[in-house]
Amino acid sequence: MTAPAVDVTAFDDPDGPGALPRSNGELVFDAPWQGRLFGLVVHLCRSGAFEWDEFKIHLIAAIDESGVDETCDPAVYYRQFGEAFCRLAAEKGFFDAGTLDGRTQLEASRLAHDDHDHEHEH
Amino acid sequence: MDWLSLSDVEARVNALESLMVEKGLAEHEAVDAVVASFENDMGPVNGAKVVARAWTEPAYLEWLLSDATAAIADMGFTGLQTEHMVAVQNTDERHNVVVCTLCSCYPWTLLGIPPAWFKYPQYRARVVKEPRSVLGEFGVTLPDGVKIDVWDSSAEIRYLVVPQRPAGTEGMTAEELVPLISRDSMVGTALVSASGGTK
Repeated sequence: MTAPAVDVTAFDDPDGPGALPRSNGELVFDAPWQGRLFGLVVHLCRSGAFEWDEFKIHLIAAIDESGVDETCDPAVYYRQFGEAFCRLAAEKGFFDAGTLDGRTQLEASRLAHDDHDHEHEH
Repeated sequence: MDWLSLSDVEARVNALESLMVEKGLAEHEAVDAVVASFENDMGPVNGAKVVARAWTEPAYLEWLLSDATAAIADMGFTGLQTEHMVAVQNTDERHNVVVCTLCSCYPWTLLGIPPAWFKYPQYRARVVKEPRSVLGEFGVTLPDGVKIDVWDSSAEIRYLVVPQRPAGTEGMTAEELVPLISRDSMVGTALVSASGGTK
């Protein structure tokens, strides 16, 4: 499963308030959901669902309003990133908040292994 | 919707992705592709280094199989869900495949961000019930005599598959072997070939 490299520099603003967390120049994540969220938002932007600048406005606002600007901590940053994406999604009418809450509960029960029905072999 | 205090942030991210896919605005595979493009620096290369060392140092292989957590920590790869590792070795008689990580139980430091298929209910359910056909769909066809062990990850234990070292690599150093060892081969859904392919 190889993929052409995606140049993320178009989706970053290293000197701005919404700069992606990096260590020694490389992107830093400390849980898989953070990379997945970043990947999703980058993909949506690349496929034309919105302009990065539209997202960036929400990102900067979300960071600012949260009162936590420790954006070098990916655990905090990507929560602000998710908040920003939801604000953009609301603006664009991608889905409503109730739909997201319902789907989140469904995914939470999947993650809790509720839908396992198999016998483990060991 | 306050993300800073959200307890089920992982579920929320999965929900976002599935909603956007249903709306036709995103594709799981395309998200995989974006993730794959930046995961290499932080992901499977660490696991590949562990495997390459095990292939070239018999004593390290023995240590890895008896106490993977310590052997992996010896390489400097600690934390981020590598606290309780078990390494399982593929042989001519036995093939290992890992399932059920669901993000929260995946050796992330070693293998990078999990691919989307790893979380799909279809993969999780089917690889346990019919591992041979699922592996076939990944392009891994095993002789009938090879027994397949399916390892179910949990919050307590995560698994690293030590794939078989391919023929034709006898003269190679650990450093030269690393690029041959793919993420999927360390999950068990691919074999390693001397040319670096994933089959």
